[in-house]
Amino acid sequence: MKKFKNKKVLTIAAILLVLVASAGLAGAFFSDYEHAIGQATFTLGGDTTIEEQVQGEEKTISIKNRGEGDVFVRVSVYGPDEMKTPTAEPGWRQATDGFWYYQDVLPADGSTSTIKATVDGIPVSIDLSELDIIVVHESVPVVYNTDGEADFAASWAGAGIQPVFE
Amino acid sequence: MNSNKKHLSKRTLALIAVAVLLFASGGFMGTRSALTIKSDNLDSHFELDHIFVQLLEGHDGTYERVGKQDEAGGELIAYMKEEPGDKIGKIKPGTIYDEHIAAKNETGTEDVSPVDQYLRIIVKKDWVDKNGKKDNTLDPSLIKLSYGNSEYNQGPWQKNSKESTTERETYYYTSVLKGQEQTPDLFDQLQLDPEILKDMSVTEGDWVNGKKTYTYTYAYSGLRICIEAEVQALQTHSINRAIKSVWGVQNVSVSNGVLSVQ
Repeated sequence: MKKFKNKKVLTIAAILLVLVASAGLAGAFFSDYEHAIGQATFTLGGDTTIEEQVQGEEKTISIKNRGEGDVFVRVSVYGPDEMKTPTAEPGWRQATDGFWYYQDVLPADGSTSTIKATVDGIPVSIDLSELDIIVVHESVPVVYNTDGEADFAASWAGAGIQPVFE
Repeated sequence: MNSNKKHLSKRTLALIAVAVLLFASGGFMGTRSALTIKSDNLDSHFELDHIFVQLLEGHDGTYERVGKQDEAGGELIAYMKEEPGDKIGKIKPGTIYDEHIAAKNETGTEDVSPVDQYLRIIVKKDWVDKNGKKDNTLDPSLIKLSYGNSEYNQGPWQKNSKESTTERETYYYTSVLKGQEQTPDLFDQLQLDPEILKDMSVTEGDWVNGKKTYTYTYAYSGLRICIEAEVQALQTHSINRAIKSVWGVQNVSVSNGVLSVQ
C-alpha cells in the first residue's frame, strides 16, 4: 500500500512538473518600453521700484525691475496745481485713465526711460521742500501670445485693466 | 533489500520512466521552440527576447529619439533651455510650443527582423518646486499637451479614461505598428495656460520713507512644469492575453487587428 502511494506521488509530481514547465512557456510575452522626462520653469511678476531724482523744481522718475520676471509697468504722477503736465521720454504713452504706460517689456534688471514732472510759478513764500509730487506705479506679469510675443493688452487685462489710448 | 531492488526495477521504474518521458517531452517541446527561433532560417529572430520601440519627440520639423530605459529616462523639451549649461528650460505662459510626441517600431533593421507591435503611451504632468518636490495642490490640467484644438489625435489614438486622471493619461494606438513604422503624432503642441495668472493674492505693505508697496504673489510663480512620457509595446501574438497580463487592463482588447478601448 505504501509502495502504491509512492508510485502515485511520483506520477502526480511528474505531471505537475510538466504542467508547470508548460505554463512557464505560455506565460512569456515580448514587450518593450522607453520613457523620457522634461522640466521647465517660469517666473511671474517682478519686483519693481521707483527711482527718482529731484533737482530744483523738477523730479525725474524711472522704474527699475529688481525681480526675476518680465513685467509691464504704468505710472501716475500727482502734484500741486502748479505742476505742469509731465513729459516723458520715448517708450511711455499716456492713456485716458491718466496713467503713463511703458510700452515695452521691462525685463529683470531693466529700467524704463524717464518721466519728468516740473512745477512752475510757485510763489516765493512757499517752501519747495514742502511740495509733494506723488508717484504711483504698478506692474503686471507679462502674458505671451501663442506665438511667444509679449501681449501688452492681455497682460493688463489679467489685472482687470484695459488702457485706452487716444 | 534485494526485494526492493527487484520491485523498483519493474513497476516503479516503469512509472518513473513514464514520468521522465512525460517531462522530457514537455522539455523537448520547449527546447524545440527555442531551436526553431535559433534555426538557420530564423537566425535573426534570436533577438526576439526583446521587441524594440522608441519614444520620439518632434520639434521644428525634426523628430528625435528621446526615450531611454534607465531610471532617469531620456529628456523631453530640451529645446526650452536658453543656455547650453542650463539644467532645465524656461517656458512662457500662453505661448504655444511645437511639441510632437510619437513612437516608432524599431524592429525591421539589418540586425533585427520586423516584429509587429501594439503600443500605448502614458503621459504624466506635474507641478514641482525648485527642488523637484511634487506639489499636489496645483492643477496639472493647466499644463496643456494637445493636438491642434483637440485634446489629442483622436484618429489613430484612443484615450483610456479608466486609466486617466488630471495628472496621468493613457493613450492606445489602435492599429498594428509594423517594423520601422512611426505612429502619427499623439500630440503636436504644448502650452502653459495663462489662467495661472489668476491664482494671485495681494498684500498691502506699510508706509516706509513715504512709500507704500502692494505685493502681488502668484501661486504658480517660480515653480516647474514636469512632463513625463512612456511608450510601452507588446507583441501582437496572443495580444488580448498579453494586454491583460502585462498591461493589466481589462477594458482594452483587439478584434480583427483593431485595438479598442471599451
